[in-house]
Amino acid sequence: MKSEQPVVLELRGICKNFGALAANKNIDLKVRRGTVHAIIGENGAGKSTLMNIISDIYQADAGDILLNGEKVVFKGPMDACAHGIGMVYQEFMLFPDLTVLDNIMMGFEKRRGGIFIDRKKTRAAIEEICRTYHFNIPLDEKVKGLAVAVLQQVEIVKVLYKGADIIILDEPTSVLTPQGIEGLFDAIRFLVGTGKTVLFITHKLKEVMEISDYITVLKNGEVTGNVRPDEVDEAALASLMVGREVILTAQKVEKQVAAPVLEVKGLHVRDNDGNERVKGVDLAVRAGEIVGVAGVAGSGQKELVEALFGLREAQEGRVLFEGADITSKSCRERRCLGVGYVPQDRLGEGANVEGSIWQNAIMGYHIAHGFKRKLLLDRREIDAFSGQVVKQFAVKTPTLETRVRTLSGGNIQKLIVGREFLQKNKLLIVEDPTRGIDIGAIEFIWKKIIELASEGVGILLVSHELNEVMELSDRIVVMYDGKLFDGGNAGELTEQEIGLLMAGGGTADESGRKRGA
Amino acid sequence: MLQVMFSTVTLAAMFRLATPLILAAVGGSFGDRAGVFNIALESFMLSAAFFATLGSYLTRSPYVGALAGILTGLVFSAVFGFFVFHLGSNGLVVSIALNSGAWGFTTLLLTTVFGTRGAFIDNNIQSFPALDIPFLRLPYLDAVLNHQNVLVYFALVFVAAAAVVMYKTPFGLRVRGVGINEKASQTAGVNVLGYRWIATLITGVFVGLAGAFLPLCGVSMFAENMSAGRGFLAVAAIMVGKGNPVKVALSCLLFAYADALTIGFQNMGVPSQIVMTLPYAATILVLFVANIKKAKHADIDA
Repeated sequence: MKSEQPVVLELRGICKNFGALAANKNIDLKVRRGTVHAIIGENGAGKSTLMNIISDIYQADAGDILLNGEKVVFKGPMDACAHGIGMVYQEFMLFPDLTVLDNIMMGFEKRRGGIFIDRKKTRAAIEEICRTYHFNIPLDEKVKGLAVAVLQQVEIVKVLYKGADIIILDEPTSVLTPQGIEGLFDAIRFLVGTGKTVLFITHKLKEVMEISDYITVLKNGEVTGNVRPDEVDEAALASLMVGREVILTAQKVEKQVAAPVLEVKGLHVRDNDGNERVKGVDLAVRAGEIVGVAGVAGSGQKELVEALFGLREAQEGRVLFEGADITSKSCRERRCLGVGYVPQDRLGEGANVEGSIWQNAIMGYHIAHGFKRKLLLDRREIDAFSGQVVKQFAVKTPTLETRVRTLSGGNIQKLIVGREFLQKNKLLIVEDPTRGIDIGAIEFIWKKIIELASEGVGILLVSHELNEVMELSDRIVVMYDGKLFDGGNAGELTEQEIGLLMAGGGTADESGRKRGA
Repeated sequence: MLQVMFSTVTLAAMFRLATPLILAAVGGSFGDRAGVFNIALESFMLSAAFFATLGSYLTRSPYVGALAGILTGLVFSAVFGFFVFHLGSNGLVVSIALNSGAWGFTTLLLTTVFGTRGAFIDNNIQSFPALDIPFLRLPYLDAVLNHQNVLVYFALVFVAAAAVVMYKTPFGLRVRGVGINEKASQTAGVNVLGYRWIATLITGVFVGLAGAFLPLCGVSMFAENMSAGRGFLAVAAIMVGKGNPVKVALSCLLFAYADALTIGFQNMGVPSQIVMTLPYAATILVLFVANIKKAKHADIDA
């Protein structure tokens, strides 16, 4: 369809090694002008390394980069930028305390008299870009109060202001609502229509099928496929990525739900700055039930979960566990009662990355579950339990003494999940259990969550991946602005309908492009 | 009481006492905004005070003294920067080391160079001249602002200049950017280490000048531990003013005012022990009020 377009960026035989690990092996890539070219692959497949080579954050060990048919060697990231390569990072590169205008011009200020910022001229240039590419962003507002979808537009305008011709978007949809994603896709289509080229990095296959003109699949640092979306389906793409058939749908089992293990009544919670983030939440999780909490990041999920687990004080309201009030109990007391927790922040809260496998396998349960032999640790029992975690949860590690830091993200997550799942817990609070891990590990953890529920454990699943909530949950609630909204039983509402709830009942317009000043 | 509070003597003293604070704190604001945790200003100031005395003593020129003070500030900030930026030391630890080191260092030099203990007074030490500015010859204002030391006027001009640099130039924008988000600055092509270094050296220059003011503001002497916590007071002013030159300078004036009041109150016969606590009580009060405001602001946001 767009094959007549000239090749704007070409990579030939790119190799990059980190020590013994070959992150990129002999990668060839042709990107045509005015197309959306998706690069897909699991975590660790080498997508980010490749993008960092294109934007010259890393230097390739071998291979050439050709821009418009000519070989180029960049003299650093700024030189790549000057050649029209603009990168929008997954984690936004913004200054919360500065205005949108200052954010965009940072490092590329237009000057007056050589030493002063010419804000008028800079503003005119940025407004011109916004007009040309149909962005509507509030230039005079501080970045910290803006919605995520708007921040992403700021990032895109920023690379356009720097003269980007090829725009690399690294996992751009992970923070957006379905409506926000639509807005982003409209913007991408418009950009491509004006002759810009978009490199779209993702692991979400549905999006790839929707937006891209070409797809390059990476696996273990190699290109395993160059396809067009009309030639393949999601299952075929998944098998190119993983190397085997993967069906990312959860296999639900029949089960009985019993009495509630967790009841929350009128809960109010504040964040560290004193802002109320949970505004009167009622919630119940029954034994054997998976309750999924969907919502855009920052809607109060973090504070809710922390209050449920005892990490944060509740201002008002009660938390009941098996009918008993635990509102003022500590984390340790809650663990003893049988509350397990898989935190979102794997490295910061979920594990001690400097510690060994066995230390991490008993973390939080060293007192509650009898690893203690009088005052000393019982290594025999610890080793037996740790071995069980490693075996049953397929944690790839040479020994139990291995430092957790050396494991991959997926393996660390399996270790944490294993630790929490193998205890005789009655309630599990699971927060983003599959964030940033590969499809194989996601499949595995999903299966374990469903298994656990079928054994009668109540599970509260808080996830920013709507797909995950929809696949796993028996019942869905949506969190928006500190309140919970009923999302029905599994399958009752469509993704679009839940998306509307995530954006505030369909009234708030986060769909992106129409928002702003 | 009111007579003391608004007397020309008190207000004139406020400007005089505020000058070293303003120079140090507004200069230090650049380091603060660039995200450099530096509480070694006390050591920069004390050492600069010594070398400024030496420079003035040797040449009989306060300007050579000032230059010596500035150079001392530069050297000390370079040492600080080398440890923190290149050896990866903790800024707090380096600051503590420099602060305790500077006291011993200057006291040692006092005995070895000048051969005295406690204080060194000599006719060769020349102070900065006072200026007579014709358009300040107005009632009241003449007694408050006119005939001040040349550095007093310089400090006030410096506040305005620093505010312009901070908010109206790419340099200021980038310094602030580096302090807010290091990684984002890198991706914007800003040389983070470079800006941190420059900001640290700016801090050194102006804290050095502040140090030079102490012996050369008219007293023409150097005393052991002459800075007497003014470097820390400057750090407090930076925190209260959040690195905004104008707000920082206003905090400095407030601290200096409390200091100036002690002179008047002592003459009134208020017990000196109580009077001497005034500047410190004022510091704590200002920090307290600034933080209450912050807490209230957070409530409004909710």
